Amino acid sequence: MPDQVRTIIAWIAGVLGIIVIGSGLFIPNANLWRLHLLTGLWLISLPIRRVMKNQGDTSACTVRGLMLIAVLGFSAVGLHLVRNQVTQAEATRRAVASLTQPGTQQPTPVIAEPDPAERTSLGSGRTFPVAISPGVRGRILDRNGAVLAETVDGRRTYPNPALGNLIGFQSRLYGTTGLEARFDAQLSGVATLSPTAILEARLIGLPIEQTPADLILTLDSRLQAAAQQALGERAGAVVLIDVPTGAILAMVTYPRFDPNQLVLPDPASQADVERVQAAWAELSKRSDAPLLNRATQGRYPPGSVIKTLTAAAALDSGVLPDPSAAVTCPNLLPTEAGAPPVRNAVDNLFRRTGDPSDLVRVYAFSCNTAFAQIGLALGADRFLEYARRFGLQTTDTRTGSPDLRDIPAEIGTIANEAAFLQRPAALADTAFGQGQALVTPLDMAQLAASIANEGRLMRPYLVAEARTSDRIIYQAQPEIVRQVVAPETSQRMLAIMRTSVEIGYAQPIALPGVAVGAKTGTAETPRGVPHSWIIAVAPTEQPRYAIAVIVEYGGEGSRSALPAARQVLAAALEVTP
Amino acid sequence: MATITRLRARLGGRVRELELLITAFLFVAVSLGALIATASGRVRWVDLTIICAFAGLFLTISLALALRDWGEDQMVLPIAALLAGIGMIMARRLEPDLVQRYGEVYSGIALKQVIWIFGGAAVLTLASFVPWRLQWLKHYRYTWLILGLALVAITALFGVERNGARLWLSLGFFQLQPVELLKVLLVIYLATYLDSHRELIGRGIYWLGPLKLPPLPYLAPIVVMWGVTIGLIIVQKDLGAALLFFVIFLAMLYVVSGQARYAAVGLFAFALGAAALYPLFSHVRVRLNAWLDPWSDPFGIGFQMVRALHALANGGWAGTGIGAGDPTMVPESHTDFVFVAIGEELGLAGTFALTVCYAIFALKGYLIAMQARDGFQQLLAVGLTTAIAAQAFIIMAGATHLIPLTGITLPFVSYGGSSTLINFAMVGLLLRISAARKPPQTL
Repeated sequence: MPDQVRTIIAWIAGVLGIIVIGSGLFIPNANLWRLHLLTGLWLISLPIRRVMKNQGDTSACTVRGLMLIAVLGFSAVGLHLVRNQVTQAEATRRAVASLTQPGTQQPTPVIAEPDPAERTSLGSGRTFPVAISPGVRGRILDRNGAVLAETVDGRRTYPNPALGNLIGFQSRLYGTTGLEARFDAQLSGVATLSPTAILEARLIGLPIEQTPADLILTLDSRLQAAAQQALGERAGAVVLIDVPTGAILAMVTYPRFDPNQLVLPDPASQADVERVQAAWAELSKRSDAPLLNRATQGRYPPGSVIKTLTAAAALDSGVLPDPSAAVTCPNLLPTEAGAPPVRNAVDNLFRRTGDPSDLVRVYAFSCNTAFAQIGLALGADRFLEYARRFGLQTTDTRTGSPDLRDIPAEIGTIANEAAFLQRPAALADTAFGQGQALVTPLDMAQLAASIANEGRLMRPYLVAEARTSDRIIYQAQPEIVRQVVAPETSQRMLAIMRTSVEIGYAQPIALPGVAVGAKTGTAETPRGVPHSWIIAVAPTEQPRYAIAVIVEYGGEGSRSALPAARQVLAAALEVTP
Repeated sequence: MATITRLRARLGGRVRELELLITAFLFVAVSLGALIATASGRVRWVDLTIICAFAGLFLTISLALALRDWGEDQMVLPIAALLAGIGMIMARRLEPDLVQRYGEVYSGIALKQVIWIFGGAAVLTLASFVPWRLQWLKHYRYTWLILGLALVAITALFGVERNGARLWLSLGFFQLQPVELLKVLLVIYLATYLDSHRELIGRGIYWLGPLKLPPLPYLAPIVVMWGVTIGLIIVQKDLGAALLFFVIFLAMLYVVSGQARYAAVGLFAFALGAAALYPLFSHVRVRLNAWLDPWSDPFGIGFQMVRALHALANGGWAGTGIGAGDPTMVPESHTDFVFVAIGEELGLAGTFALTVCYAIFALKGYLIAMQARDGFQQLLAVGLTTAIAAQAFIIMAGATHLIPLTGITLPFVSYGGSSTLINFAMVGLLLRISAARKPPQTL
């Protein structure tokens, strides 16, 4: 046999040896493993011996042979250790555990599931004692890839100046806020660092290697622009939610601020610092609070919009067996001695609703006295229970965190204290939209969305994912917070809301070719001019969008909020109004 | 001025040894720190003194070697120091647990081990600095042989029996394990004998089947020598030493003859012998059964091995951390099973590192053999290296259930006076052989 062929055979044997040992690692039988090890090492020694054979005199050759044996021997020990650890450790532990008496066996420790809020805490306010370069930072993009924030030449710029209340800003003078703060770890590239890398950087003091991630938001710039235009320069907020997932497609608040004016260029001159300081001073002292994100932090009386909650509670709890159940709509409804009776916004409303009426029609014409009666029939405890399910709490027992975790948000309240609702007059008032309730536009959008989503309240979210150049390091998963009402109730409520558009006060929101369900609200204010509210879902057969609009001091619901909501829904559904 | 330059050059020549020694000390110091942090939390002056003395001793030896400038190997000493340091830490770590679990017999082993290591360093200094001639080993070969055999005989007759084996000779303050000394004497005797009969053994005159046999007059002393030794060891019931001696003998025979067949036949003969002993000796039977299936009798013969496997499994990749495990669950955790104790507390990383250390030691030892001046020194180096490497392999593989367990110590690491002293003596000899520039009168 020619020498070359022998060499090739030897090398093939070496490779075979590696395979034999590798497969042996996973054999539970110890003797079979030893056989694999022995055979494998012998096969591996063949090519090595071929290489060694051609060099040196005999005595050097034999000593080299001993070296090979030593190396193979210690390799055998090393491989055996690896096998003990990698494939056999678990089996050994189990076998030893089965030897001990069942009584003496240690109970398996229950590993507490980390608090979801804790788990998704992505480092806002977290400080690393290592030098993180602010010049290296990921971009923020909308769902279609439009840039909303990026770092150019070491300076953070925000191409869309209207999103300051959501995205926040990264300012060397005033810190980091909004999404920039919440996802600081991902944007700066610290989230992907291992603890050891951070420790290393701390010990050695070198700048760490940051791999910044881009944030991809759920916002749709087109719908955001439509909502912005619809609200115009009126104080208020618009929230548009994707019903199946809870993703926020548009969120507008007004008055707002341009984050670019708070960012210092690098290097900054004294004039730059003074300009930024002046801008900050002006923003923070303005009485119309432009730094407040009204969509999540503004707390407003809900007005008649809350009748949706009362109606859903009545249907779901069986207080009203079905939407056609008889309900009266008197002009006056006395509740308790000494308290003024409930009255409707307009007299003789029963001429429109019919007498006796039903739930569908009293909802469509927003009859206060009818919903006061429904509230009283529900009772304080049941009403409170349903309010809690929809995410509204009482101020004295407010616990937990807001459903939205990506940016600061407030938890809406149905009353200042639970005991308040025990008074019939208070319960009646709250049930149709007066009383102490204070809700955010996001709360109302979620109310509409959960009714549209077969009674499932989804967790709202703004950040879809964070992505480095090669992998996704954070991804939001649509999450059901809770089932608030039965799917059947949600179907009935959708029909009621659609009828409200077909025959009731919400009629002007109707869009050609699409069935829309809506409820307007007119929230009384101390100033006299009421806030204008609306919630709407569309299309009602297969709801995709849920919207809530409030226009501060906008008058009746149908006057200001309704046209704005209509405009946004038309844009979302791509129909011409 | 010229002197300073020369001194500088000499010191510069052994920088690698210095670096490796410092690395080893850092490891030992960190281990001690971790041990103090987990176990007592209190830094005792005695710990600091010992660790500084330990570092100082080996640094002094290294410095003296550098100044003498004979060009010794630079990796053997740091590896020995590192392993001894680990052994020192393990003794310090295991002592309180051993005392708590098995009684007062074990109190003081940490300090004793420190004394053995310092004694070992002294022996090493003797072997490599005292002006004696390597030829003396050659000239007095029969003295060494008879001395070794006499030691074994005396031990067999008057020795102290422990764990069913009569391995210790009581010298009052210190119980000598003559087998350890015999190991070196055997290597020296075999090296001289094989070197002087190199030609005949390599050539072969008789044919025994496929085997070429050297002439009988020259073969006979060898056969007699190992026959007697192994016979005595069987009487002493020390399987580990028997296996070790045999492996050393085969390795040296292989180097002299260049015939792998001798070694193969030898191993086969040993296996046959073991098979023959199997029905005769209960301790051989127990060892073999415990190896074949320790789980069949997990509280009896398999107890030690099951505990050892469990300890290794608990250790995981990086171990429980030094002082945080429960290694004394395994009997003999400070001697035969110290490798498992390290596996539990330093994990796969620790045991793997230890294996690599021994592998490097073996490679360096064989390299020294390849570069040795004459045949005798080459054989001596091969014998000494094989003694340490094979001993490490036999106990590491035995304690991890790869081969049948035979009780011998893990060189440098295990607790034990005789073995520590002898191992350092062997390192001293290796250093002397590796000295490339030693003056001719020391040969």
